[in-house]
Order: sequence, then C-alpha cells, then structure tokens
Amino acid sequence: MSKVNTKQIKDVADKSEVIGNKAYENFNKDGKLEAGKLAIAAFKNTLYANSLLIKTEKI
Amino acid sequence: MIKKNKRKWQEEKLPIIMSTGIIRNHTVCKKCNITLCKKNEILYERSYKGVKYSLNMGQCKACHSKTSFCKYKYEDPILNKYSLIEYKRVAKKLHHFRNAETYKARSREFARNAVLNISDDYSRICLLSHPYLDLKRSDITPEMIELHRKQLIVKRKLKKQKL
Repeated sequence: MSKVNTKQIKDVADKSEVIGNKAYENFNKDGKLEAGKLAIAAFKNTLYANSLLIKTEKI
Repeated sequence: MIKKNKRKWQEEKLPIIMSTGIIRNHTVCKKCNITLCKKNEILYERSYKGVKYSLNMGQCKACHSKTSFCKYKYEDPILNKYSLIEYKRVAKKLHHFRNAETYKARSREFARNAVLNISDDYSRICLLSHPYLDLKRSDITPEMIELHRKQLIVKRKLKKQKL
C-alpha cells in the first residue's frame, strides 16, 4: 500500500466531484434521466476515492 | 443577587427553623395539585449556620417517583406482586387513551420525515454501513455527507419519474 499513487486518486476525486455537481445542476434544471444517472455515478466515485485516501493516510 | 436573596430568605425563615425544624412553602403539589400532608410530602434536609432543618419542595411522593398509578398494599405478598402488574397495565392503557391524539400526530410526522429523510444522521449511518467504503465515525467529513445527500435526492427523483 506504500506505493499507492495518492495524486492520481486525488485527481479522480476532484474531477468526479466537479462532473457530479454539474450533472446535478443539469438534472435539477431539465430533469433528464441521463444527467441523474451521471450525477449518481460521479458522486459514488468521489466517495470511493475519498475512502481510499483516508485508508492510505492511516497506513 | 441570587446569593443575597437566598440569605434574606433564610434569615426570614430562621425563627420557624428554630421552633419547628420544618419549612412548608408549598401546600399543594406542583404537578398533580394534590394537597400535601405528612404521609404524602417529601422533605429534603438542609442546614443553615450549623442548624439542620427540612424543606418541603412542593412535590408529592407519587410525582417524585414518577409513578402513574395508585398502589394499594395487600398483606399477602403474592397478591401484592400481581396487583402491581395489573395497576401498571391499566395505567398504561389510560395514558394511551388520554394522549391518543398526540401519539397519532407524532407517528404521522415520523412517517412524513421517513419519506424525506435527508438528515445528516441518516446519511452518516448509510456511509458507516456501506460494505466497500469501510469508514469509521471519525473519518466522515461534512463534504462526504453532502455528496451522499445529493445522491439520495437524485435517486428518489428518478424513482418517482419511473413510477
């Protein structure tokens, strides 16, 4: 676990959060199904990435 | 200010303390309005300048022990035991009958909140119980809670659309 690339994980977390927020705004405006699904997936990715980062910090 | 008032009050009541040793400020119970007597009242021990006295705090014994039923003591211990159980059962039924409206309103509110459950605690519990995240209570940040809340809102809206 010491060779984990934390920068990559951080990038993934930040990018997916930005994408998720945009999709969430679009979903609130239009109410399209695709935008909603994208938002859910993006938020899920950010949560996974954040949990991974916490685990690496502990080790 | 409070200390001065207390001292004044104690000085005024000093002659009563010296004579009887009991101060009765309340004649009626604060909660149930029953007249207080020697059998019913509770006395708290206090001291002023080395002189001990007892104070009536305005609560009857039943209110102090938070019992919602009247108990009758039988001579037979087995009868006494079963009577207590029966008293409690009747008291519970009476209590529910008197406060039925409030209980119904509370349950309605609870059901309404369960549909729109977007509180911090709910999302925190969801994150903690997630099998792949493996998080502890100290790891969860407010940002993560917000993300989870947004996710929930989108999921529920999509469910409504499908229906």
